[in-house]
Amino acid sequence: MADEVKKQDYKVVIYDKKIKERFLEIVDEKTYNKEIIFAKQAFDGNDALQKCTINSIRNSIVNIALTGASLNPALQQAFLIPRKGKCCLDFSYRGLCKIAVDSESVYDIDATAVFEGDEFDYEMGLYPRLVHKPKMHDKDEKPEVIAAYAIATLHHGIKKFVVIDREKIDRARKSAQYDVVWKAHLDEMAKKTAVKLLYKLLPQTEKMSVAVKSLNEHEGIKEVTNAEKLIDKFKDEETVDMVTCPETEQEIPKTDCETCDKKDGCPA
Amino acid sequence: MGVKDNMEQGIYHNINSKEYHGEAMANIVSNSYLGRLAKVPAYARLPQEETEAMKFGRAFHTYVLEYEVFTKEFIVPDFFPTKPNKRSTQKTIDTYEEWECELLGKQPITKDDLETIDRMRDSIVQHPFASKLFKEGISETTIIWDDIYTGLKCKVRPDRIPSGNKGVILDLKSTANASAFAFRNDCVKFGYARECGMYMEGFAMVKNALFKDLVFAFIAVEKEPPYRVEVYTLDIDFVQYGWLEFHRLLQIEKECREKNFWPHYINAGAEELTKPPFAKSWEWDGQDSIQKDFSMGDR
Repeated sequence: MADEVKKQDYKVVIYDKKIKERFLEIVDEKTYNKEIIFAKQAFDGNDALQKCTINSIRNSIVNIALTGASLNPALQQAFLIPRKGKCCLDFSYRGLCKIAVDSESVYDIDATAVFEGDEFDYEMGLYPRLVHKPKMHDKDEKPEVIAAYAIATLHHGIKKFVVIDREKIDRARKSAQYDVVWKAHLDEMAKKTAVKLLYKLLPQTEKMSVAVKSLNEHEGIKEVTNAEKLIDKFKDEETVDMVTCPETEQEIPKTDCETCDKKDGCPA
Repeated sequence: MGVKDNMEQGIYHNINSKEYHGEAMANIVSNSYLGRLAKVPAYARLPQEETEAMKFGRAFHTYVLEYEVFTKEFIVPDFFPTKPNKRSTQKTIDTYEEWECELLGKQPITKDDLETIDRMRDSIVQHPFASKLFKEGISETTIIWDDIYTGLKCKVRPDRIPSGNKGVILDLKSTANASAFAFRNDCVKFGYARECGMYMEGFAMVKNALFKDLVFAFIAVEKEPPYRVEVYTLDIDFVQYGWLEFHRLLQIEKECREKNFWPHYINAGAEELTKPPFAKSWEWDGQDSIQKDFSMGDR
């Protein structure tokens, strides 16, 4: 395919003039140089990423500038991940929090996972309240995640929070395309799901919309192709075998032949 | 009903093919008009003559989608006399005129073409999924709407809209090569992507539907044995490309109408051409010395 990047060409794509131009429209050259080095590092040791389509690589790198998150591995805010031959920009819950704070949607935002044995209680309604006293666990103990919550402090001091229980966490896990990350980092993914949910309640900024769109496209919501949609719309339809009746010379369903008087010796 | 230029936005079931392509609706922008406009605006204004390929396509569409109309519009004559020209004898002219009278105003089609069309239809019926698509639905309806960006009136005529409010639009294409690779190229070359964008826009406008709930599918049928059939949809980027192309051309049409001038060129100035990728440069002995002359400006 023409859109496919040959392995040796990935550097050409990363250092593409168009990406640089688009990047520099949003951030300064110093940030561009820094992020491009992190992007190159991500590509260097990853065969699958190198084979991703040019457009997806271009979009992912430009989205870094659009959202303001960093690919710096030490910060763990955003990652370039190959999915079905496409390069996707994925954000951790830290990345999502940073985008919300940087875009001045909120003053502060954080998320926490609730484990089995923790003292946890919350109330919604007119006077929302949330109490969480984590239990100190032993080194060998591996408590189950039972819930997760995200709290945002808006600029005028009001706090907003969402709580998701285990059922909601599992539902988000089920709708994800890849289970590997969920298996290894359930608590982190639960926090991310809570932050994503809280995002809907916060004053929207462009950077946040880009981040959520990027996430939904590749992770939370499965990408349904038009062909899949079409097949799905005709799922219940049964095909009827048609035959041309030699008597009437008309196209009729084959099942009609069963009740025909002249079916014996009929050439059809 | 009276077919006219200022018809209101909506779906019309009683406009036949002749009326749709006729003079009365000529001022309403169609996909084929935009296809010609894409080459160069003046081309769109030329009177259109139906080519043999177009005739075959129309016969195929009618045969598959509206069989009852096929018998009214097409006829298979026993023979095809020589078409008279300036040098023809009176006998040739008379024979041809007599033959034309016998057609009763119907479109003649050769026996071979009819057999081909019939086999093509059989192959659709035998395709596990394409047969489902054509099972029930309305064919050849006309959709008319006002474009919100340019205010121009647009018209489309979907080949088939399956019943049951599925939000599906089907387009039948007879093609020389129905492979995914070839058809993808055809989508750009023959403007099928633009057609997809335009048809979806029209359908969405009159049905008040969202693009994401609609699916536009092509049923590509080869004209040669074994009459390969494939069902294709375009991905969202491809649809967007077609949609943008549709609106770009509408904008050009609007400007042409405002100036009442359809130019026979794209570029009013001059354009520099670059060497196409397939033009391979060969290296030979002594090339360096004469290449130097070129670089020095002696040539």
